[in-house]
Amino acid sequence: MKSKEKKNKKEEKSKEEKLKIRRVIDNNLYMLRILHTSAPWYIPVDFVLTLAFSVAEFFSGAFMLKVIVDGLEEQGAEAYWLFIFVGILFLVHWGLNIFQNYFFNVLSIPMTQRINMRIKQQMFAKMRAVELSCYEDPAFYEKYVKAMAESSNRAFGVLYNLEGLTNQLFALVANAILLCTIDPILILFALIPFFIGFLGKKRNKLGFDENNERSKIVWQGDYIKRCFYLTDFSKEMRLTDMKDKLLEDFSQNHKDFAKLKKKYGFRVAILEYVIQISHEVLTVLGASLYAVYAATVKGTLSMGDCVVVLNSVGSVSGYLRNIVNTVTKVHDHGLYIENLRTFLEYEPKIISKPDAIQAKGGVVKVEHVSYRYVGAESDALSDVSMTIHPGEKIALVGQNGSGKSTFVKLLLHLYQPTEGSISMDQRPADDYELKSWRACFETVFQDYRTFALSVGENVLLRPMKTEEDRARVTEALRSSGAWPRVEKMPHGIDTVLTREFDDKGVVLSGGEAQKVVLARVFAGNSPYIILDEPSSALDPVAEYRVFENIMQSTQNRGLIFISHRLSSAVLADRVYLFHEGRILESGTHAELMKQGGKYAEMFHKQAENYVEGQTQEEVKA
Amino acid sequence: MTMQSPQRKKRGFLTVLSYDARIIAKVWILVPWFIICLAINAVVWAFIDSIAVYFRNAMFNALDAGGAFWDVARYILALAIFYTLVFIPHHLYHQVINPILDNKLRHKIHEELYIKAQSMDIACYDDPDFYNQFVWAMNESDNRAIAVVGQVSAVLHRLAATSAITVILLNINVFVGILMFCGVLATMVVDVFGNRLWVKQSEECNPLWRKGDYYTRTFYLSDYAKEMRSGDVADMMAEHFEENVEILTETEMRYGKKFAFLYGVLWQLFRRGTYYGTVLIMVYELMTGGVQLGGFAAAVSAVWMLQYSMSVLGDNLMELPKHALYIEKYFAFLEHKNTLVSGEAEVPPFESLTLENVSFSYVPMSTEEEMSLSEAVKAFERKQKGEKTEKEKDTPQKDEPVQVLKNINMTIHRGEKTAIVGYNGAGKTTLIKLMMRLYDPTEGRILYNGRDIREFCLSEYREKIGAVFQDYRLFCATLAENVVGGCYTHSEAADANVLEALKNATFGERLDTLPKGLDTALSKDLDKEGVNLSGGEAQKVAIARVFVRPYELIIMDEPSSALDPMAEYQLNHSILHAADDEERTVIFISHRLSTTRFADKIYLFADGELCETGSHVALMAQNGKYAEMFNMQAEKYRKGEENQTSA
Repeated sequence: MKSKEKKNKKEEKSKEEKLKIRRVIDNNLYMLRILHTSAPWYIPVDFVLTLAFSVAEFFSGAFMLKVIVDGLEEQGAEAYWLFIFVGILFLVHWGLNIFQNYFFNVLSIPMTQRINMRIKQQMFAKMRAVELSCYEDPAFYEKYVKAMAESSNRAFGVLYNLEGLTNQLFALVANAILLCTIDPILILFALIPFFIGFLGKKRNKLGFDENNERSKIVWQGDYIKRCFYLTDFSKEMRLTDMKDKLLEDFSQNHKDFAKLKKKYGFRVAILEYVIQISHEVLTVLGASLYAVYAATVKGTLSMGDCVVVLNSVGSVSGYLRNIVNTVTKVHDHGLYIENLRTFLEYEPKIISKPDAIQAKGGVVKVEHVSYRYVGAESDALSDVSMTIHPGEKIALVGQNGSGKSTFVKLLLHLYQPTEGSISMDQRPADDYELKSWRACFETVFQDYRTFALSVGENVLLRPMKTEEDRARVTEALRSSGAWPRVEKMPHGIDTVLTREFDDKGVVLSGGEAQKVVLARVFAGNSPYIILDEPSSALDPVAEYRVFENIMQSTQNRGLIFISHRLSSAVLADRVYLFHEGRILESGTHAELMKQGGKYAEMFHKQAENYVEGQTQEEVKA
Repeated sequence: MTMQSPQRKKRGFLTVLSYDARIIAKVWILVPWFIICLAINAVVWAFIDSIAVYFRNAMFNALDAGGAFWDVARYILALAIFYTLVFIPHHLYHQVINPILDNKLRHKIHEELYIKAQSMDIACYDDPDFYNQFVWAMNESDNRAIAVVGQVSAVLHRLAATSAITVILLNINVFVGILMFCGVLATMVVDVFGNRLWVKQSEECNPLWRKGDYYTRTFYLSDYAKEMRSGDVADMMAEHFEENVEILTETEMRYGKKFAFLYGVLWQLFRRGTYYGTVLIMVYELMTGGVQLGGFAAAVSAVWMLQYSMSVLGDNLMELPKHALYIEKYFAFLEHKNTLVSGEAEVPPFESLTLENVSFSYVPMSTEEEMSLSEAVKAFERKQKGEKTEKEKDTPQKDEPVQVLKNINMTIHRGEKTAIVGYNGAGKTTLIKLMMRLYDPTEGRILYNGRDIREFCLSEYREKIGAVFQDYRLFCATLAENVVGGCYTHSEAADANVLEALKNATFGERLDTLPKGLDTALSKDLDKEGVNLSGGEAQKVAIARVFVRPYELIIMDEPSSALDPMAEYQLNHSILHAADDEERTVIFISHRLSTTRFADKIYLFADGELCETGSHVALMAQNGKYAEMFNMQAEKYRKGEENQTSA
C-alpha cells in the first residue's frame, strides 16, 4: 500500500521533472537571449574562441600526428617543413591562449558583470513586485523565489555548457572523419558507448533514488548541527540532557548513511564498472587490436595510420561520453530555467494600473474583507469591515492568531483580499499607485528588520542627503528614545548597523533596534501610522513614554496599533476586538466595558492584579 | 567604505601550507583509513598511468620493428586484462568505501565540535566575532578538511604520475625528459605566483562579494519582504548593488590583467612549449633515426597525459592555500579554553542562595583593528581574564564595558516565592544567568548553602535548577522528549509524571487533541504526522520542563510573554499552585508587575542595581520606585475600569 503510494508519487515527480525536448532547448535559448541582450559581444567572441580552440586542438592532436608520420614516411629526412608546421601550430596555439586569457580575465569582466547585474536587476524588480504571499507559501518560495538568487550563475552555466558541447561535437566530427578516411570500420568501435547508453540511464536513476532517500538523513544531520551552534538553543543544550540524545541521534545518522551507501553503492559501482570497461577495453583496446590486425595481418593499414588510430581512438570515444553528460546538463538547466521563466512571467496580483492616481490619505474604508492564506483550510480573516478617518486612533486587540496582523497586511495592500474591498476616499485601492498607497501607512512590523545601512538610512528608509534629513533623523531618534544609544555610536547617525559586511558595524539589542525602527514613524509624515505590537520588546515605562510621544507627535495623523496589552487600548478613539478572524466587538473603551462582553472580560482579567494591588495599598494607607 | 588597515597581517605561502599539514594530521587522527585509502588510490593511479605509457611504448616499438600480429596484440591484451582487474577495486572504492569513510570523517569532526560547542562558555555566543568563527567552524570545517586531503592526494597522484612518466621518457629520449621536467617546474613556479595574486585579490574582493550577496539577500529573503515593500529601501539596495558591481568590475579587471599575463603568457608558454618542443625533438630524432616510430608515438601520448596532469596539478595547488584562513578558525575554536571551570564538590539539597557584592559586565569585543582570527580569540580570552592587551593599555578605551549588575546582595531561602522585577535592561535576565552559572560574576561571589558555587560540579549544579527562559526553544523531538529534555523511555510512572507536568503547565487541553499523545513529534519536518505548536503552546511545553523533575529551585524568566492575557492568567495560577504543593523555591522574573504581586518577596532592579526589596504590600507602602512603576502600569487599567463605572 505504502510502496504503491510512493511509486505514484515518484511517477508524478518524474513527470514533473520531464520537460519536452523542445521546451528544454527553448529554455536554454531563452537564457542565451538574456545574455545576448545584456552584452551583445560576449557570446560571439566566446563562441569564436571555442571554435578556434577546437580547431587548434584537432590540428595539434591526431591530425598533426598523421601529417608527421605521413610526411616522414614519404620524404624521410627531407621533410624539414615539418619543423615549420609544428612551429606555426605552436605560435597559433599560444597566441590563442594569450587572447583567451586576456579576454576572460580583462575584456569580458565588464560584460560578465553587466550580465550579472542585468539578471539580478530583473530578479529584484520581480521580487519587489510579487505580492507578499509568494514569500509565505513555502513551496512557491523555495522553488521560485529563493532559487532565483543563483540565476546569474545559471546563465553562465548554460553558456559554458553550450560551449563544451560545441567543442566536443567539433572534435568528435573531425576525429571521426579522420578515422573514417583511414578505415570506416573503426567508427563501429566508437559507437559502443551508444549501445550501452541504457546502463547510464539506469545509473542515473539509481543516483536519483539514492538522493531522494538521503534527503531525510541530510536534513536530520543539519538539524542536529543547528541545535549545537545556534544561540537560540545554547541554554537548553547546557541545562538539559538533550545534547546526549542528539549526539546519539547523530551516531545513528551516520549509520543510516553507511547503510544507504551499502544499499546503492554496490549496484552503482557495478554499473560504472561495466560502463568504464566498455569504454576503456571494448572500444579503445578493441579498436587498437583491430588496427594492429589490419596493419600486420591484412596489410590494409599503413604503419603511420595505425599509429594515428592507436593514439586517437580513445579520444573519440571520450568525446562521445562527454557529449552524453553535456546533454544531461542541458536538460538540467532547462528545468531550472523553466522555474525562472515561470517566476519572471508570474503576473503579480497587486500592481498599479497605468492610469493609477497618487494616494494622499483620506477616509479608509474596509468593506466585508476576507482573506485566506494559500493552502490554508479556513479564512484567516472573514467579513471584516472598518472605517478609519484621518487623525483617528484605532486599537486592534485580540488573542494571538486572531487575524490582527493579517488585517494590517491587507491594509498595506501586501495581500489582495480574497473577498471584499478596501478603498480610500471612495476609490478602490486598486485605483491608486501602489507605492503611494503604501507610503500613506508608515508601519512598524512586529518582526521588523534593520538593514546594513547607516542609522539615518534605517530611519528614513531612503538616502540621507540634506542637513534637514539629518535633523529630522536626530529628532525622530530622540522621540523614540533611541538617541542616547545612537549618540554613543562611533559615527552617530552615520554608523552602519549590522555586521553583514562591515565587521565594525554596530549590532543592536532587541529593545534598541525596536526604538530605532520606531523612529521611522516619527521621521515620516504619512497620513497614517501602523504599529504592530510596537512595545513587545520594551518594558512598561518605555512603552508608556513611546506611546505618549506617539500620541503627541501624531495628533493630526491617524494611528492604528495592535497590542495585546489592553491598557494601551484605553487611549484609543475606537477599539476593535478580533477573535478567530472576525471583529467580535468594536467601539470606544467605555462602550465596550459597558457592553460587558469579551473585551470587558479580558480587561478585567488583566486589570485585576493591578487594581487589587492598588486597593491593598489604599487600604493600608 | 571598507577601511583597510595598513598593517594587515601577511600570510606567507609556507604558513598557509602549514595549516594544510595540520588539518591532514587531524584527519589522520580521526579516521586514518581515509588517508590510507586516498594514498593507495593515488599510488595505484600513478602506476596505471605509467603502465599505460610503458605498454604503448613497447607496443609501438613492436609495431615499428615489423613484428607479427601476436607480438603487438599481446600488449593490448595485457592492458585489457590489467584494466579489467584494476577497475573493480577502483569503482568499489569510489562508490562505497570512500563515501562511507568520507561520512565517517565528517561525523567524527562534527562530533568533536559538538562536544566542544556545548561545553563552551555561553559568553562566547554574545561575542559576534567569536560566534561567527564558531558558526563557520560548524558549517565548513568538514568540507575544508576533506578538500585539503583530497587535493593533497591529487597533487601527490599527479606528481607520482608525472615523475613515473618522466622516467619512462628519459629512457626514450633524454632531451624530452629534461624538457618535460623543466616545463613542469616552470608551470609550478607560475602557480605559486598565481596563488599569491589570488590571495591578494580575494582579500580585496571579499568585502565586495559579501556586499553583493547581502543586497541580493534583502530581495529574496522573506524576512525583509515586508520592509522592502515600504519606503524606498528597495531602490536604495538596488542602487547600492549597482555601485558595488562597478567597484567589483574595476577591481577584477585590475587583477585580471596580471592573471592574463601570468597564465595566458607564461603558463601557456610553458605548457604549449613542452608539448610542441617534445614533438619537435621527436621529429628530429625520427629523421636522424635516433628513435623509432614507437618511441615517437609513446612520447606524444605521454605528453598528452602529462599536460593533463599539469593542469590538474595547477588547479589543486591553486586551491590549497584558499583553506588556510578557514582551517585557522577551526583550530582556534577547538583550542579555545573555557573560563568557566567546573568544581568537584557534590551539590547538597537546596537551602539558600546568596549573592555577595556581585557585579557583572559583558565583555565587549569591539575590534578596532582588523585582527587575524586566532588573535581575536586570544584577545577575547585575555579580556575574559581581565587582562588588557598592550594596545588597550596605551589608548584609553572608548567604550567602557557597561556594568550590567552593580554590587548586588541578596539571599533566597528554601520555599520562598521570589519575584525579580524591573525595567528592560535592568539586569534581571543576567542575574538569572549568573545564578545558573552560565557566566561567572566579574566581582563578588554567589554562595549555594553558604559555599561558593564555583566549588561545585558544574553539570550537577545546573541540574539542581529548573529554568524556563524568555527565549526558550523546543526541539524537533517528541513531546515527551521535549519535556524531559533528553531521551525518553515509556513506563507507567514516567508517563504519569510527564502528563502531570504538562497539565500543570496548562497544556492538558491541547494534549488531548494530539494524535500520538506524548509521542507526537513537535515538528512536521521530522515526522509527517508531527504538529507545529503555536508560540503560546510551545511556551507551555517549555514550562512543563520545570515540573517534570522535583527541582528544588525553579527559575522562570518572563514565562508568560507569548501568552495572551487569558492564558497568562490561568498559567500563573497553575504555576503557583503546583509550586505551593511541593514547597519548592520559585524565582519569577517579569516586567509586568501584576504577575509578581503574590510573591513572598519582590526585588526591584533598576540600571543594574537592586533598589527595593520587600513584599508587595510593604513596597507599596514604601511609596518608592516600585509603587511608582506599579501605579504607572495600573493607571491605564484603573482608568479603564473607572470609564466603565462612570459610563
